[in-house]
Amino acid sequence: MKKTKNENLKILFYVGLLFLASRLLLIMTGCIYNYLTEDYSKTWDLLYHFDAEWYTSIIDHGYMNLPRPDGQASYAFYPLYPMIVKFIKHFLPETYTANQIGILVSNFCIYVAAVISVKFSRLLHKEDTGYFFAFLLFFAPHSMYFSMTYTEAMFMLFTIAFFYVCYQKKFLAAAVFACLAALTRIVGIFLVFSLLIFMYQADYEKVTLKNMIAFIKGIFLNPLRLFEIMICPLGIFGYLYYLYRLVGDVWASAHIEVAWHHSYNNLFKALYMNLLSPGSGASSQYWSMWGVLGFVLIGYLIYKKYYAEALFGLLSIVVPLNTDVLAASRYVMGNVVFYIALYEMLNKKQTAKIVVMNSSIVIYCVLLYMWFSENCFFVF
Amino acid sequence: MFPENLQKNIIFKIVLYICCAGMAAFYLYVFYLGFHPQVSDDYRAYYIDQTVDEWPGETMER
Repeated sequence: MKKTKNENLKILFYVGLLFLASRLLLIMTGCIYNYLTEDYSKTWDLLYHFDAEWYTSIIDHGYMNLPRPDGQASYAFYPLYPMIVKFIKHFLPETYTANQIGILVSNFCIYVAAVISVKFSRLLHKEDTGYFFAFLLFFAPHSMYFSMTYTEAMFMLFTIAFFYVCYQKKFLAAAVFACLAALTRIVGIFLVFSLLIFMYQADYEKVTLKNMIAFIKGIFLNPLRLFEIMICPLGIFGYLYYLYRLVGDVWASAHIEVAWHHSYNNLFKALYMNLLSPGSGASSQYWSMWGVLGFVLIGYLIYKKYYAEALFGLLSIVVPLNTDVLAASRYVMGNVVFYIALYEMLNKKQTAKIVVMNSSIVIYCVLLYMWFSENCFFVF
Repeated sequence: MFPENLQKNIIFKIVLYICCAGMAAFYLYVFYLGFHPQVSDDYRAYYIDQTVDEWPGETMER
């Protein structure tokens, strides 16, 4: 018991050090940006762009029932993150802005997620320290979304917690995390399929028709198991009902996407067209390549027999990429399963790990600088 | 998560089945509403049918 407590404290401490180092680098990049532009902006203002503005609008004013002149509206964004930030805002002095509290919440979420990631990696590989996973969450390219008023950090927390408890066969806790993840970002709903795979693997070793029929029968005969599956979509259906009450359309959050970009309605077409031409703007090729990288990492997960993770990763990039490749880098690097793939791929290859760690730090700073300059849609 | 003896309790099982039935009914009701949107013609034309390129309806400025 005492040994576990000491171990947990050690994890909290070392993950805390990594966290501080990454945020120091973030602030330092902000200072360099201020110096080169001969301006002075506070770090939280430098981070405040794009979707962060939508989230603060929801936190301060609630959801809009009418769109803006360009057709865009805030109900495209899912409610749990702004709800929690708003709740915390009630307890803090009014001088704190929604953006500042959003940044605090995101940073807290990613710190906890990193602590869980260390414990998760030790669960998978007993001989491992697991700090490389935490490093990736703090320094990987595009991990900057975890430090701003974006939902990515909270989503990462719920999804890593989901996989962590699934490996311990605590399926009720997993279902609650899946429910919370879906209320944070719509793709969280796909965790229900991963949950089913974990449940199946807990009961049966081989995939046969007989076992599958017995598994389905078992779900209906075991009310607790049925309950665990049923609560996964509860939050998101609550939000869909709310949208019906707000604008009269259950699928409003999906329909509103048309105001942001046109849909290719075909995954391969979206990837192919954007690889060849700037279909979705100057960063089309870059985003398409992230989409391709996502599929490569999913293939690697299947190869390593991480089927539940692979299925979740596949569904959570196929659905947005079917529309467009816009912000594909965020979809990939905002999802825990791709970190699991990177971790598995690199962890035992010392030289590759060092190269990736060093280049990650450089790319992290470059992307942060581009984010601060705002006029570059490269990062979005 | 729940103690073994509680999971075997018949009342506990009935309560869980009732909760599941309630959730299933709610999901079906939301799906039903999904097929019957109560929206303006402008909303339908721009967001659902996508027959117009620009939002023609009322707007809100924030």
